[in-house]
Amino acid sequence: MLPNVEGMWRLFKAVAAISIVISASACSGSVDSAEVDLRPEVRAFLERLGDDLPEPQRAALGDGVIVFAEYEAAYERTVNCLREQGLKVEGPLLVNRGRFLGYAVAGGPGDALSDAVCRREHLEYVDELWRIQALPTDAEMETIRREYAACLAAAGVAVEDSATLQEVDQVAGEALGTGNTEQLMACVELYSLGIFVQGSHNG
Amino acid sequence: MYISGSILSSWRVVVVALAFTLLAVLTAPAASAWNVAECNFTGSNSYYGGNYAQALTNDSNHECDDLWAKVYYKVDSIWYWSSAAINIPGWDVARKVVSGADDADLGKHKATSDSGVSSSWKTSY
Repeated sequence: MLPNVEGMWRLFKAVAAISIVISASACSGSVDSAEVDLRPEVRAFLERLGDDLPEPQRAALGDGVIVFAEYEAAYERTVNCLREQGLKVEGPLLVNRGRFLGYAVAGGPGDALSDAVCRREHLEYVDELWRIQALPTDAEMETIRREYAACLAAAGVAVEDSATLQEVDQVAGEALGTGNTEQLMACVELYSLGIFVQGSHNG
Repeated sequence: MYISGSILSSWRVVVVALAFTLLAVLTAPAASAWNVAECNFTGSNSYYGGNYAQALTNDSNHECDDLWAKVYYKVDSIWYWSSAAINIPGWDVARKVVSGADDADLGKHKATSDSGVSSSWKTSY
């Protein structure tokens, strides 16, 4: 039996949102990462940003922190941009129970790359910082690893005790399509950092 | 000519084993391999019976940075391209899975080397 993952995830998001808001409110509102206790990965990302940062993403990146509302707004703008190009787009769609977002573009094989311009203008840097922020600390990593492995075990997928979080993720990925896929996918959606599960827009 | 039952039986076992092997080869997602600068990466796509469509991009030699994966999938007779799954920094895999899909066909895959060189989008069939 799986834990109440929806409830757990809602609680996690609430705690994360409060933490981020507290961090963000400590900033002056300008781009000055030196005044904020940023993680090295975030600092390295901000230092890489050039002067050619697209205007629609500049405000969201200004304080060096992306909150969910900014992340969601960037996806909304991207989807609207794609629709203005005449594409039929579904989204934004929840990925891994809302830890990430995505969308779907209806069309033939040649349309696969049609989102490049809109992504670059509205989403690319916001999306990257969101993924960097999603990277757990070492302590968080160990907790997630343990819970992920236990969740997989309950779904009938054995994981070695010594497996790293990435190795646990690999085991889950290789088990897709075998055994209790639905229960396995519930674990993946809750814990995975390498498998991005997008819900069907029609279902 | 007399052929003993045990030989016939052995042949049946061999034929069945070959059939299963062939089936496994045909149904397993075939990964294609590419490289950009020092980064070697693979890509594949597959469909699982539980209505899951998947595209997988894998860093083969731990020399890649960004990994992208998109899957071409069908829902209610309409084909869609998913948006890209992009790996968390430092992770070797990007898998995009779409639940509620009726089929999957192609995958698109892209990688950036640790030295910052990006590949073009590659297709897995």
